[in-house]
Amino acid sequence: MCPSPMDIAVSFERGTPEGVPYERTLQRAPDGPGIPVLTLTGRFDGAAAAVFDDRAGGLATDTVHWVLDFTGVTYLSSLGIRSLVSLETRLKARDGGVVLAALAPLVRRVLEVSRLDGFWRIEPTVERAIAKARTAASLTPAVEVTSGRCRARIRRLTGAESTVERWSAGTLSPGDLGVAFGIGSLGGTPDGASAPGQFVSTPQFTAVLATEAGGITDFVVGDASQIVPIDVSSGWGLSGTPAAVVELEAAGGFSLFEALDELFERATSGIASAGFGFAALAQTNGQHPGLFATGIAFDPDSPLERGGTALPSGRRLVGGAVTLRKEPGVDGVGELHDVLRGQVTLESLDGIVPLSACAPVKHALVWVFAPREVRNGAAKLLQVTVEGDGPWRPEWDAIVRRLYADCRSVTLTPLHGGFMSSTFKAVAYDQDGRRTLPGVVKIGATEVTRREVEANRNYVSRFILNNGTTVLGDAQAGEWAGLRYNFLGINGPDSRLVWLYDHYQQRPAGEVMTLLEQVFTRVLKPWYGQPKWEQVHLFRDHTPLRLFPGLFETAEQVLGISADAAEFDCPELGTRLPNPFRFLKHEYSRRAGESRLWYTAVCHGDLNLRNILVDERDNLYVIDFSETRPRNAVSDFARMEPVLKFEMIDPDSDEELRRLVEFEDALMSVTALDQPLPFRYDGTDPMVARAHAGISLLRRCADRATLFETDMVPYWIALLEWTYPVVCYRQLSPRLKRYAACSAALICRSIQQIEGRA
Amino acid sequence: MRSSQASLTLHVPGTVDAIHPATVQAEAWLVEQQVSFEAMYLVSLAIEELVTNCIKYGYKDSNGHTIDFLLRVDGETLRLEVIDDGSPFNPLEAPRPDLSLPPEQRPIGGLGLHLLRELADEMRYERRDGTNRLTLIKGMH
Repeated sequence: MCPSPMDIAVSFERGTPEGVPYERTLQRAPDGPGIPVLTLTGRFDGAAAAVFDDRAGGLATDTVHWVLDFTGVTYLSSLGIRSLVSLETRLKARDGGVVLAALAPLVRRVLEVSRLDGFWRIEPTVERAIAKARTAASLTPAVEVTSGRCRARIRRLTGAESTVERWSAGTLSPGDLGVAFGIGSLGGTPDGASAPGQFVSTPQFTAVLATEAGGITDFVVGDASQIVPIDVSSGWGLSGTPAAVVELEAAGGFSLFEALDELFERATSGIASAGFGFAALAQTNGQHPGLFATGIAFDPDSPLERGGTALPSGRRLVGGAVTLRKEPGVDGVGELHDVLRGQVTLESLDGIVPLSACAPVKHALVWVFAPREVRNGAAKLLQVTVEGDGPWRPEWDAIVRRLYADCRSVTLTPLHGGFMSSTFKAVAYDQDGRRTLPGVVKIGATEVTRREVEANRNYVSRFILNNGTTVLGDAQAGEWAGLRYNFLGINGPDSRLVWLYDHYQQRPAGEVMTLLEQVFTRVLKPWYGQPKWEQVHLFRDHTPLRLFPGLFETAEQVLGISADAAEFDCPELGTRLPNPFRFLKHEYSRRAGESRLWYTAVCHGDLNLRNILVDERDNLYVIDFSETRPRNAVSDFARMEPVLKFEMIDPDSDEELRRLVEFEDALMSVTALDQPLPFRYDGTDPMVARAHAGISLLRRCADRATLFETDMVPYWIALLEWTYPVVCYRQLSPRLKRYAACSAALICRSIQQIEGRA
Repeated sequence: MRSSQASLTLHVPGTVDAIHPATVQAEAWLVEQQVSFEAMYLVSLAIEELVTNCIKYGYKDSNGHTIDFLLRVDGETLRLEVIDDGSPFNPLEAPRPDLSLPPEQRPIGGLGLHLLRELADEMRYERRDGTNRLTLIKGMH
């Protein structure tokens, strides 16, 4: 008989209720009984479920809010789920419940496919789960009050702290805003911002009235609402925890706002500074069966808000509401965000209405806020400083704020490089003002960033860890996404990282070759050293037209070579060669479906001398993985070859160009990867000899990556991928572009010779 | 590198006590094959849920029955074949649990099979030679 595979440890924790700033906890020690925390370790299978039921059933506690710490749970089966459901049902009957903490991704997925992820409260960390349970446990017993209009059950919350925030123009995420209302439009739209209209926003959904579309309300719900920012013109928000949860009921219907006006002081013992805030979910007697409303009732003499509707007490009410197509459940007292998550869905949301147009209510659940202060919303946001005059977009603010949510300020300095994305060096200060290690923020199109995040997870952290980047977070806003990664040499913040490009130009050839060889044979060995033998589509995978769709037009403009001409005249060699652009235009499309067995390996995808960094002790670091994926195993070597030629050499005369084309002719004369490369050059540029040594090394490494195969064709096709685009590079001289075109023509000739089409 | 093809067969007695040792054995082998965590999870779940199901519903007699689990890793694909000689039962035609009901009102049972169906890429069933043959397929890229 096997012993129980799951271990259960029980402790009682006194965390701090959610939303209470740390300084306050020093003054006011949390009271009430501790929260039972069940730390589970092992597999939550059928055998464990029996043990769990026993243990949970016998736990001596009056507290009805529990935390289950899943950090150590690797497995959950249907029998485990059944135990969890039965515990939750039991605690719910006593107005309590379970908070699940730190679920492993697969365990969470099992709950999701069982459609149970909304049944429990789920928090990423144990600390947050305890805080959530503490908040729920801090509700005091209900007090029943009957006002003229309705019956009220008031439950005050201990330790409540909230703030009213005033928002002026800015691009903000719903997470920044809290529960808010005002004037704005959905941000991140490709065709520019639409005209602003009324908005209501909570961390669970955003509603914006599109004034142009004839009064249609746009909604964004759930996780999506976190990535669609709001371009706010002006607004008010509530953040922190409510002071009370009030249930209001009168079958005949009543005005929600007048009832609240009477109850504000009673519900909160009148601790508010400038007015009261609320968020309410209600069943109505009107045309729409449901309603969500939020607002702030400012004191009559408050200078902050002169507009709004006057309430019987003289307070001025401002706010916004959203009608619901379905009657929401308002029985269970719960945390605002949890209730909204459960009750407000894309199907139930109907449209924005002003508070004055809200129908009489028959049953409502209201979270009443007694804010202690009113502040400018920007004060709570991370301060983002961008140096330099480079392009910056408002959505990027929202991205950086989410990436650095744990910090107080961050300064970004543009870094050179980044073909598809903008890259910044980032220095951030934490909440206590301590400078954190410098990092890098990279912002680009969502698709590019997503590719890079995935490549980091799949191919960097698992294969080259210390010689690559470590992604510390990613965030999306509209069409843009950003990622935050570390960027430190082995010596930490004192490391001085320099491009391999600089070393290549300045150091002796022998040392440079050693560095280059280390990249291929040590740093990236876990990629190239594990090739797979499989079908590859060379022409389809290596087309330069994906990144350079305008290549033919540019070749015609810059070099005067038409893709339809049969041959390429090469006076430099006194001969005629195949026209490489014709080859690209016709052969690539004709042979796109052609596949062959060949080696594949994980390849960087754009390995060049600026994507490799060197520290002061010659440690090497590879960056920029947005193109990283398994493909033709020689791709990276073939990508580096044009770098050593066209980025490091620049012919200053036609005579020198002729010499270089001869040099090129020799490079392309070999017919197998393991053949020694002839060196033919009678000029004086030392970078040509260096290129010869480097390319010899590249071809040798490519040969090693393909084991016993020596076929040149996959290398030639990969080489063409990065030889063609030289004609499109802006800073290069026309002579250099001509050199690259000759090189492409010579490669095409070699391919045709090998394939017997000469 | 993962070897191109490898397989393991487990004969698991139809008793609750047999689940844990069978899972341990399967996982040890799967670790050697370097399969994904998700594939490993699926195998554990299949052993527990299917053995439990067989004990509950599978047999009309009380003789000792065995359930065979054939695991095969072929390149990037894991294939799990489960063979038992219990009463005919096609899980693909079994009623699906009503997930729109509140959890506390859902009938007991059916959830295990639902999880397998969701986590596997493909699920096939065949009744052959008086045995139930259920095949689960999971890609691992």
